[in-house]
Amino acid sequence: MNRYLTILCLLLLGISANTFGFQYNVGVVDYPPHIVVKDKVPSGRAIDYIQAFMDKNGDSVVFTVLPVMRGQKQLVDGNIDLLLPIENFPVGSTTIKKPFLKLVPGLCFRKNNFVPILSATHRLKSLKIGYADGSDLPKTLKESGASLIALKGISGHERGIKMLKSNRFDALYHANPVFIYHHKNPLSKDVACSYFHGLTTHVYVTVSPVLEADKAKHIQSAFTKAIEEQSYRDFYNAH
Amino acid sequence: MKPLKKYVYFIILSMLVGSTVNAETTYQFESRTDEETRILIEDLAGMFIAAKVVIFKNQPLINAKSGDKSVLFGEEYLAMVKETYRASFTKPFPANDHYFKDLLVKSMVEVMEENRTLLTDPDLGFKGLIPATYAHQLSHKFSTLNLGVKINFTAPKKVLRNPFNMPDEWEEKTIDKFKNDGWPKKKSYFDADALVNQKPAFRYMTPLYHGPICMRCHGLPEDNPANFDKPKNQWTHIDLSGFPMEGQKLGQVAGGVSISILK
Repeated sequence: MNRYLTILCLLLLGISANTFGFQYNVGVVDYPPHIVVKDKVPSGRAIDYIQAFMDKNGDSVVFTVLPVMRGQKQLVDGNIDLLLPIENFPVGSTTIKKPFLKLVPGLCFRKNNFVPILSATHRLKSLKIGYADGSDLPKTLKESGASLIALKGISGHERGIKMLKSNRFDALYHANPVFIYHHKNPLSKDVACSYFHGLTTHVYVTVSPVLEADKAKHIQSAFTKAIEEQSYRDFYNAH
Repeated sequence: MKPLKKYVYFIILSMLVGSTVNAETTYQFESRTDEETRILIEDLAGMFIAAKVVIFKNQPLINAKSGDKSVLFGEEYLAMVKETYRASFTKPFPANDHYFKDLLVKSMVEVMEENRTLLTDPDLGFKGLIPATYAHQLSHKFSTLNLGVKINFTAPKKVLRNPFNMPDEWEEKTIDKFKNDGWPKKKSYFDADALVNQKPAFRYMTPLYHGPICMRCHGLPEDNPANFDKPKNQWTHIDLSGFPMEGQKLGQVAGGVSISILK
């Protein structure tokens, strides 16, 4: 009798792990250094973080690299379950409640053209400023009178840096310039960035509006719990 | 119920309730007497001002393209802040006897560290880390720690450069008090029955005045170092940081450091 009960317990534990496991199709957009796309293959610590917590939960994940706009359409159509990281999420979709990342946005310049204090917005007035399509541009930048140029498609950030270095832009908007302008990054030899201090860009994981209710509920609770246990920021810093 | 059955129920129950959620914690300020709170806030304000003065005094080093800048970081930087506090307020730097003080000190060091790449950039001269921008970064970092404490380095609306430092009604009225001829110079103002966003709070503000070096950016075109070696018809009214100079006068109230603690 005792042996049967023990087996029953073990079975219950085993079944529970499998029963609650879902497969998620996750769309990812180029978001260096958190997600870096090379030959349409995503890598980076955001990918490791998602993979780790999905594994821990007994869920599985398939990543698909998408440009921001197409990713948003695929999300709304239900072809993918989640999309990340997203600053502007499409109408109708929901997000994992806690932001995945909180970033201080800024502008990157060639050093000979550096604007150190961005609250002096009149200095931006005649500049040509590139940004990766889908970025949540600060109001102060939108209203600065700068000419803002969207970089569509995959790897918008990388192309933006190249265009900045080759003089095709005066500046590049970045949600988190600290990763470009960092003494360990060779790019900081040519490029310097300054910040919209006081502003925070909240970056989210978005959930498809047509995702089955149980899958949506499960990922919402699992992801929120994962962020509370170890935020992505802490995970990033620890690795 | 037999022990093994209990064991099974326990496991099933554990599986059902096993997923706990950690609530996001926020710091609740412990009630103190009004006087104790005033002293705490005054210490915080003094520490904040000392950190800002260090940035002010070190502009040549900050904007140098080369040289040893290690004094701008970590313990060495903190030692400068403490020494500056001692010199400015003729008393020792406040003891680390409160959570707020500890976090303010840590925030000071963090802000410098976050600016390391900029400060050590060998190609940039003027870095833009001036007292105002440092104060803004420090107050933003400290005010977003969920402590219920907010520091605002603010100024009269008319001469405010960064809209994020906009004074609220209480701050505007307090600045007006400071501008009043009857208000003793350097006297701060403490209000134990104030509101912040409709919530009861302790509020404090200490005035800041334009000194000779402030005039380089906030004074008249003749105070602007960019004009020193130029004929008058070539003078610019844009200061080093890119803002139009406001024509402020020496000794005039420049604004203040405002601190609030939710009750």
